[in-house]
Amino acid sequence: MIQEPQTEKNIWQTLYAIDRRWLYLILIIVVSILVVNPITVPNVVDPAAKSLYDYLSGLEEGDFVYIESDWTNSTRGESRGQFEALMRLLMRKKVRFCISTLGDPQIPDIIRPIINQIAQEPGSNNYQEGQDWVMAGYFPNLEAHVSGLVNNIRNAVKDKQFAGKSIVDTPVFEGINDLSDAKCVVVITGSSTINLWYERLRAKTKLGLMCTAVMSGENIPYYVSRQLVGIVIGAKGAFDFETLLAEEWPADEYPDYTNYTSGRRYMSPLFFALMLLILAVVVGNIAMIQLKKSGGRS
Amino acid sequence: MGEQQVLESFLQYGRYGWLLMLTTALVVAYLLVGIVLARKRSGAVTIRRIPGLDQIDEAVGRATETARPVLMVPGLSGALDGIAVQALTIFASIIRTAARFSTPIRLLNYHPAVYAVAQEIAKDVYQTEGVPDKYDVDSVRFVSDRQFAFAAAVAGTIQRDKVAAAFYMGDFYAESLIMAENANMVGAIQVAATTQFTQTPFFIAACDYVLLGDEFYAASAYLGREPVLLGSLVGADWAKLTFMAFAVVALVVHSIQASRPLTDQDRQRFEEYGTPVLPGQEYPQRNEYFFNWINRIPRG
Amino acid sequence: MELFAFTINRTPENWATALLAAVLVIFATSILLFGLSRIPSNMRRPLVGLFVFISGLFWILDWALPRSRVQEGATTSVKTLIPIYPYDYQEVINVLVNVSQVMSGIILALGVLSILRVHFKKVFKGDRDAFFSIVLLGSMAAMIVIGLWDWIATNREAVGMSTPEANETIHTAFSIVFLDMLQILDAAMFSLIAFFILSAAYRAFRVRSIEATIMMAVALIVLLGFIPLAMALTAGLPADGFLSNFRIENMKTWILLNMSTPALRAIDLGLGLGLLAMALRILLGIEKGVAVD
Repeated sequence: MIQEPQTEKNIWQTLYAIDRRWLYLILIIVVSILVVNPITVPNVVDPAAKSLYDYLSGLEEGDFVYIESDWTNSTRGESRGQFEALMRLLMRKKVRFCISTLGDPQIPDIIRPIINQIAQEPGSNNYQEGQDWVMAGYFPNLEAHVSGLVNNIRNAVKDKQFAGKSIVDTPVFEGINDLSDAKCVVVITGSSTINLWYERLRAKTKLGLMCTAVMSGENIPYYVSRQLVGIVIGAKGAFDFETLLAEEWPADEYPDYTNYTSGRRYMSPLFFALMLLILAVVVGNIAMIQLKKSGGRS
Repeated sequence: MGEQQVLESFLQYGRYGWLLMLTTALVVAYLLVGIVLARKRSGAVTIRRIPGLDQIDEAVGRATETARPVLMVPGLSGALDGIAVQALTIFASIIRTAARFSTPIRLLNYHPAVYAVAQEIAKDVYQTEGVPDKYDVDSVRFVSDRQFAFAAAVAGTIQRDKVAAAFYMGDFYAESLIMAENANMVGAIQVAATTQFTQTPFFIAACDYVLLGDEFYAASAYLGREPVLLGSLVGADWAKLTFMAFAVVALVVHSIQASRPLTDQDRQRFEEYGTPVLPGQEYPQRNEYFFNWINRIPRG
Repeated sequence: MELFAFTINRTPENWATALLAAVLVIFATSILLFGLSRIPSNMRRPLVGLFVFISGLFWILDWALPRSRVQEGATTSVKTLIPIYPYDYQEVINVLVNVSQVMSGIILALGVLSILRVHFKKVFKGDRDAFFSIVLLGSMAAMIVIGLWDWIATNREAVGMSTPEANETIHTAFSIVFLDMLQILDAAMFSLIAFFILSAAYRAFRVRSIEATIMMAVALIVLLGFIPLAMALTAGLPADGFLSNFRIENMKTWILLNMSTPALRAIDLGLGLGLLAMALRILLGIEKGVAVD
């Protein structure tokens, strides 16, 4: 850090160049308090998230969905809530699903306990691996995996096993001979793996995306062009999904914890962090204008 | 092989597919013609100023004055792809300037293949500048192929070596701001160019100069003025003009279509193409208003 | 395809075949590399160019050769059928993909060598940061050993060990190192971005010019559009009708879809064209950058 000579600073000079460590301190205090004691905030559901929810919610019992889960703990704040809400919706609708992962070999170990935990919740129809869902696991080569799935889904995952037999021989893959037999491919990602699906998916299969907020900018064009049936963006998207779950399965039958998890929990820290950001920008600008007026440094 | 029955052929040429193939062929033709013409009449093409690239000498010069290193990061490409090659091409000219001034460099790599090529390039540049003994093998390093381990290592290098200038070129993701803010803390001049445009705002907030979009690809032509590179720039510009013309035509056609409500035939066609019209995704009615309208149009 | 049976049935006999195959491949590669090193330097560039062109051509063909939807029994699949060649072209691509993966595995060794060289040098020179290098080398060794050991323990059958034996200790060690440490450290690094966004925005968003002012105003509307408290400010406006346009969430959506999206599309288009031009130049061997000279 470049040390400035110690001269008496007026309030505007201080606010014009606040030491970044003060900003960091305020942020960590605000976020820590709200993560521990979240405030329930109202929600206005984003139409893009509702679009994916409505499509998946309209599926019938026994339909098949292919899930590509590419998130790791780094984007857990956003992706985990999305993933949990998606699992709840599919399990309640009794939709079969197969999950594969690209990007990181540890992903299956992260998501399997989550799925098993949700399967035990009321309303989740006691989902069983190998019976109602299967894990196709990690595929190191992104490009080959996605084009393999598009060309021949059974061939692409046949080497993956559950309880000693190939996952394509489990009831989950019954009647699934082509990717177009899947009602939807849902990609949950914190990286740009979705691009492969834009490039490769030629079948009539719908494509849904759950991504981090940072990635929304590059993916909204594909929602606008209707290549995506819906797009769930960041922690707010997870909260949208949770809100929609709670609307469809009200709290009297389904306890709050089965509908709302990290999505709602992270909303108040997120909103207050955003407000802090706006405040910091506004304060910095007011200070700059004041300094300009008084002819000080600008 | 069992009994095969072909149900449908020319899959990727069906539906709208031929349009993609035709467009690609057209763009390739533009590029080739551009290159051929530029070779014939070299010197006829000029490029507008790109301030970020003009700063290279100044940034390296400042590093020389303060005897602190110049940092270069060729992005997080998953392989030695076109983006990484382009980044290394730009870095070659930075290394050349650094070699002339004997400024120390740090070129940190995410992918081992990029690292191997980067090392060869650096060695080559020092050799052609006639100062092979100034080249330090450890200045070009492989760091980690794990995103945040890489980010931590780059941030650590920035803080420990107090780099005077930092150049980020190529594919960057969430780690962009970690690097750029750390370099800002040590007061480095920063120039960034990324093909991941979601990261561009972060670089704009934290860096001194940012090359936007395809300025990244124009950089080697800008620095080298080779006819081949200039020609392909011209070809790409023609392609852009064609796309603009197409957009104008599409705007007119789409507006005419949108002024009438959807017919059952339209719905059927959308269904056939795999994009059924969901509720709320229809063309707007006349009694709907400006923002609400436009919010709905894109989905309809 | 019998020759490659060992890749599917990992029995001890097949391991022997695999070993033999590996030795043969290494031998053949050595001869090839020796041959290449003898090529006069003025021939090297055209040879590399030819190699690049052929490698690229495989992928262009993969993209351009017409694909067909084929039914075999109950399953339908997409294949790239070529008249004289009895196989699906996709199989060629799969082989190439495997080759490229093996090659990147080999190249990783170069990277590891670089890490070892840099950090051992620091340790032996007694650099002031030598402690960090020791930590790095130690963690690297631990991760490699635990990762491999766990893989062998869980894939005993696959590697030809006949008695499956559960090894809880090593699996726990694996969980601690990879899931409880590496993943959490990743998350910690990622979360730093929140702090950096705050300080970068505070510093960068200043109304210094007309353009900066417009950008800041638009950014504020979009940010406020995500905050329920701010949405409540304009919640009094009707949900339909002309005034609904001024509800903050509608303005936000309008800005995102109709200003930000087209701009991003334009940038993306430029990037795509640039990459295509770059790829074409590399493929045809006319790239003039230093990188391929």
